[in-house]
Amino acid sequence: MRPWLVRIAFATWLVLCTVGAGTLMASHWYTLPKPSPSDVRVAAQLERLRPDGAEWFAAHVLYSSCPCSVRVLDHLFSSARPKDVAEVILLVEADAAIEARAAEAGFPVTVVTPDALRDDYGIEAAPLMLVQDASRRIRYAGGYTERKQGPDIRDLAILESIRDESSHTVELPLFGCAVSLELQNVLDPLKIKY
Amino acid sequence: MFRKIVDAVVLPSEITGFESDYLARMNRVALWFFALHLPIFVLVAYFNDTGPMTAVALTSAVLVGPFIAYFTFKNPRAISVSYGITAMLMGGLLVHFGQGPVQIEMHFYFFALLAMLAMFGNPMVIATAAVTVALHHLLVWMYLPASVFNYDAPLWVVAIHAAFVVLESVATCYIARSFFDNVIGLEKIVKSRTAELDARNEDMHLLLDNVQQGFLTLDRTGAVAAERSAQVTRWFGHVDAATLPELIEGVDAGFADDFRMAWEQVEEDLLPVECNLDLAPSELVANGRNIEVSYRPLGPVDGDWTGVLVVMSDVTSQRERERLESEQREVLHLLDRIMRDKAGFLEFFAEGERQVKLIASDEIEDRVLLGRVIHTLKGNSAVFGVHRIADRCHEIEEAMKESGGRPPEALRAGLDEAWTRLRSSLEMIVGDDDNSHIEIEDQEFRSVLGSLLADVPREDVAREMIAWRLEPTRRRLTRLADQLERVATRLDKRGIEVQLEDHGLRLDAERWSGFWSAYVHVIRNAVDHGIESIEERRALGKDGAGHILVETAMESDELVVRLRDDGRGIDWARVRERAMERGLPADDRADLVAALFHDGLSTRDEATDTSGRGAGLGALAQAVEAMSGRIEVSSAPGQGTTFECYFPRRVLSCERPERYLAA
Repeated sequence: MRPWLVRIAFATWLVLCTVGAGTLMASHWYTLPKPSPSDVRVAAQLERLRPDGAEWFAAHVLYSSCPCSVRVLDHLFSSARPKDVAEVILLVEADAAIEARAAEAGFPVTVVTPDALRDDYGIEAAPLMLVQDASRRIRYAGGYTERKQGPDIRDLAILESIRDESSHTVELPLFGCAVSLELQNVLDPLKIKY
Repeated sequence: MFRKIVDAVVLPSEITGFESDYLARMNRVALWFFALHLPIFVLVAYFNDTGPMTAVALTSAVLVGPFIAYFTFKNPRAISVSYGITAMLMGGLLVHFGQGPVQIEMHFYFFALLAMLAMFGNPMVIATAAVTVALHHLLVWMYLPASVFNYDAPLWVVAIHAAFVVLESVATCYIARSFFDNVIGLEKIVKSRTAELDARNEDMHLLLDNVQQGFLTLDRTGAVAAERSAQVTRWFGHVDAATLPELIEGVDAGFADDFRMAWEQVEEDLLPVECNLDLAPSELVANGRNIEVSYRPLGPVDGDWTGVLVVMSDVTSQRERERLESEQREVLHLLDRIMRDKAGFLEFFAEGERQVKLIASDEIEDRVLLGRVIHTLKGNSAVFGVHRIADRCHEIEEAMKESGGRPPEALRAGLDEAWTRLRSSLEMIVGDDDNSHIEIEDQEFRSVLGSLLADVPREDVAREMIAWRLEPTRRRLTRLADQLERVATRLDKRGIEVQLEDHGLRLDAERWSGFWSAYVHVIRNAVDHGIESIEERRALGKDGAGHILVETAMESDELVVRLRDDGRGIDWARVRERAMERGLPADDRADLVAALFHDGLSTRDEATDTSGRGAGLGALAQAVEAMSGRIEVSSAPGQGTTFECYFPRRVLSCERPERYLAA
């Protein structure tokens, strides 16, 4: 092979790989956005999802195509849930299997599209847990694990901590997937991950 | 500082054969290593539900680079560098496909791979990998700044993250460089050291080729090292010699034999090597050059010797200078002798000249007669202090004894040359030999004057005055006494009392010169054989010093020249033994006296440069016989010996006054 051709080939490879790996890094490292507790859209939608008579209310925003969300779902379906907390699943993109398992586990499920989640709820990433107290105040809006891909899902501990007024609850970062198309385009312009 | 860092990271451009082979092997292994990432990553993606097909596509894409490098790059180091980039890209893929509970552990891949890259022995590979990582972080930061400081991580957290990567990169770079310098670059180090040694050897050769001394070394077995100074080859030629004697044998066999004997002592190792080397010969002659040889043991200061350094120096000019100085001293000494006894010296010189001519030519065919002439010349030369001639004569005698034949031509020519040089040195003195004047003692003058005043007949006065032309025997006796003293001094027998009795006799100097020349052997025998050492004499109850009487006298109408000593006397039993060994008659005293004058018979076992060859008395006998004389010897053990030479009156000078009247 001619030397100049080799150089071009190698340089092309280097550039492509650098860009590709860079986007992968960005998609993994980027801090996924959480909704603001003061966002009226979130409060309005939660009010719509909240069962009547519930004092403590938790909404699990999970994305059926997101591995992290799937792990949270598995956890929700397999763990003993608190009796005094009304819990619902806001599932992004319909998934019959998940819905069936949720029904079996006693979780009400509301399916939304990514666009609706972004427009109506102001949420662009999952998995996200939202907790309201009896006064409709959002007491928690954050992730489930202390670190990325962490095996210890902290939802039960977080719910207990919030209800125990004496303890301080730390909001965990959101480790997971971009849900909105805009965010996905930003984080994965080469469409490797999404 | 920056320069040092660059020098540490960037290897020297030269790639040795060893490095090339090593990198070819390692690059091949590494390519297989990265190729195996494909199935592994597919499995990881499968189990983590991160897309096996995506793993196939992305891993294959990353593998394109190393394959291009491996199959197209000429420089093996460039291939290794491409592997540095590949390793970091593979790490990124692993973290991506390893999403799940162990995703964080997948990051160890980066640190493991950074360490593994050290096996290429090239800091640039590690630096490239680190730069690749840094570049990705930079790009991501530029694209999405929040991603680097993800989840609100403070700057110091990011700094710690980067510090670990930098720390490992620096450490592995150091390891890689050390690996290169000390293992991969070993060939280069050896080459460099070899070049240094070659340069030093070249310098050493230059030195050895130009130095005027001969240097060579011997190991403990005596083997000669191949390295030696060029002077050694110039002296001894291109000899394929294993030992020093073999090297030198061709030019000086005697030296070679002596060295062999000395080296046997060295090998026996009974004495310190320095002592044994002192026994080795210290000078040789190579093609007319005098070579001084010294030996120095080699080895650690406080350890055993490992070899011997042989240093050879050409001392020809030094020896020549010493010879000239010696001859100069000899000439000065001879001048002193001449001042004291010019006539005696001139006579010796004239006689010596004649003898040298006889020796140098083939005039004397009889070996015995030739031996007598040589021995007489040697004795007289020693007595007059002309050692260069005495030494040459001694050499000739030794050669004759060894060969049993006539002396070698070279030695005779050497004697002639030495004599010529002596004559040249003394030409001014010996050249003005003027015998036209007459020296008389005051007593003789008074005697003639008294005779004239007393009206003694004119013929008697004339005879008395004619006798003035003869040499007083006292002069001869005095000369003999001087000779005796010198011999005694040389033999460390100082203090011998010499009594001279001339009885007013005069003899024709020219006619009697042969006799007096040979008579020196009697003097030498008396001192060397007769007179005991002072200690020996005291032990025997004798005086400390010996006594010798030398006289000339007229007895019963015969002239007698007598020498009597009070020494140990002749060992007649020994004379008989030696006579019988030679098949000579040894029945009575007369036979034994006759044997004394037989050539080659001596009571001594070994000849010295003074006596012991049995040639001197033979020469005397010949001289006495030539003057129609006879010799009588009487000796008693412990009491001394008397040698008496009798001559008839007719051989004395008999000039008549009438001859002068006619003139």
